[in-house]
Amino acid sequence: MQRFNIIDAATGLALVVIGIALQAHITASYDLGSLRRMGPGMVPMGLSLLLSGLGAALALSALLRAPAPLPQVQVRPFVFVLAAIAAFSLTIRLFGLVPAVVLLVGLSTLADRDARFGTFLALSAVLATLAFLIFRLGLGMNLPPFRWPF
Amino acid sequence: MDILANLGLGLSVALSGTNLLYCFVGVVLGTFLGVIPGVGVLAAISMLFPLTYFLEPTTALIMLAGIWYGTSYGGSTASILLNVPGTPANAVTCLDGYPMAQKGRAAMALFMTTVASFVGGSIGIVLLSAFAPLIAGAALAFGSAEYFALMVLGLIAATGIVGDDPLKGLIMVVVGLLLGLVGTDVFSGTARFTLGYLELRDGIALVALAMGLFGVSEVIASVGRIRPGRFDASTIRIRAMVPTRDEMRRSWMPMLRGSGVGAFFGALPGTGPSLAAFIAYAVEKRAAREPERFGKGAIEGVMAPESANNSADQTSFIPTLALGIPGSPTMALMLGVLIIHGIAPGPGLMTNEPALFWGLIMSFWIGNILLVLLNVPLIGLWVRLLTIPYPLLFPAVLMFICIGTYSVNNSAFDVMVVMVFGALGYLFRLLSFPPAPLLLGFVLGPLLEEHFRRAMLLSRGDPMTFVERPISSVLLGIAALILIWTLFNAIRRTRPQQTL
Repeated sequence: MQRFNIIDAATGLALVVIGIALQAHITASYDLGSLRRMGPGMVPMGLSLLLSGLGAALALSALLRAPAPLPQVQVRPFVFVLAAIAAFSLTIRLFGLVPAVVLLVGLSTLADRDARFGTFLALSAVLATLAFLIFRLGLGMNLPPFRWPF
Repeated sequence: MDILANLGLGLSVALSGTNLLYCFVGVVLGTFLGVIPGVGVLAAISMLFPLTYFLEPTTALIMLAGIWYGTSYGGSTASILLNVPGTPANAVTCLDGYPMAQKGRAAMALFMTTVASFVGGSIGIVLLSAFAPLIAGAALAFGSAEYFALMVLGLIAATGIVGDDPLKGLIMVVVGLLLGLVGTDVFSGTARFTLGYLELRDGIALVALAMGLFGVSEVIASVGRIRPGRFDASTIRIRAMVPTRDEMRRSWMPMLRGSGVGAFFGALPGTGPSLAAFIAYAVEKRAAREPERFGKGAIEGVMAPESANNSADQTSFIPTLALGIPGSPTMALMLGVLIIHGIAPGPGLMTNEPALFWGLIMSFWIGNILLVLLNVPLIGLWVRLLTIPYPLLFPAVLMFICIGTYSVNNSAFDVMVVMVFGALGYLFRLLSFPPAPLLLGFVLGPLLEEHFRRAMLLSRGDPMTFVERPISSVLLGIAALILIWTLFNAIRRTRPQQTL
């Protein structure tokens, strides 16, 4: 049986490691300067030391805390929502607004367990039209509805 | 008097056709997004932020501010009818609002919260127009050391008072400060932490970070959890809104006390409407002659928090507009609008841009009046929104987030940044790290570094300058006290668990 908050302890240790990695990167790449004339590395160095310190404090205080239940990860929404955004980012320039929105709607409706194909069809038609009307016609943004890169 | 001329100027700006239109658009959108649980104020404002590139700065701020206080009006609807807060600031309203709805008094509760919101908002506006110029006047004498101290105070207050875990809040501030340093160093021109991406030379886009952290992570956490509400919409009729004489009598004092509490906590940097509403409720419960009525549908328990959050909405503009220091992440976005349009926020704002400042304040009055008109006769319409299923809603939210971010710089890279911060935001949620301090740190990071380095240059490398200058030392002293107090409280809270 764990007696302490293992999640916070691990997070704290991870922060210490991230802080140390940052310090290594800063020492290697940026000039620290002096107190009188600070270089670009001084403030980031101070902050990353602070981050390591606070991470260590969190890890130590976690030893005194009661264990918390493991958080429930919503894997399905997590994967599909992020995939939908990535798909939009990758297609908007190559194929234009309408394909990007349809892909976004398609992937994001899959995030819900009870998604139906009819919902996807209706929603992508409505949203693509809406996006075209608001952003292209209404606000005159540079968002052509279709593009063909080849 | 000056003030009359200023108010007149403000009124003429706020009543111009375009500004009036966008004020209306803002409050309608605010109410709309406030009513629907799962879309918070920050998500709403960052979603609509890109629109403001196409508007005059005054108009843009009027619209965003309308969304900001509009959500507080709309947010109580879901609290009362469904026991689900529309926004975090309306969470306390559930405690007595939902029992009122179960007793069949939902319509009256909705009406009275609109009244409370209006009274709270009005008191907040009066205090804002009285105090902001005074504070700005005093701040004109501030140098870099004072600005640095003030920002440290704001950041500490943001972590200490709000979250239940100050250590995690502090960590998020530091992470935010570090993220804020990504990009070109203003003093030396060195590119820092850009990972070789040219797109990161100007820093991480504020909109992309905010939308990922608040909008996307909220969607991920809400999908499959929010189900359409069930309630009897036919009970929400105008005739059922009239409060009894007894209910009226009980409402006055809580409303005034709530407005006062809200105004105070709204003006403090780092606190804001959610905390104000909680404290107002606690104060009311303590002041009540029959505290046992609370939680069972006491009208006082609805009036106090609803007037407090609206009053805080208005007074939170005091540090933002008078000092250029945002007291909350939402206010950070408001300052972002100013910066994008090339207006330097700070104590000079009121004298340099009187039309913007007073126009914005007068638009708050108009917006609050519009909100009463929107909320009382049209409440039936807003209530129907609660029956829209979330599966239809969230793809639309994601679409607005993606197009919004993309259109800021025509940058597909920024959309990827949204995805990265969406994932991070969800991770923070799982580990119960509060995301708001991160955004505050992110916005203040570059300013903090700039003032720190400038103050150190002026003092020839002597850090004692922050302690020797009186204003700066007082501000840092308060920050230290808050820090010690919150850490002490946090330690005291952990102890009993250890003995279990």
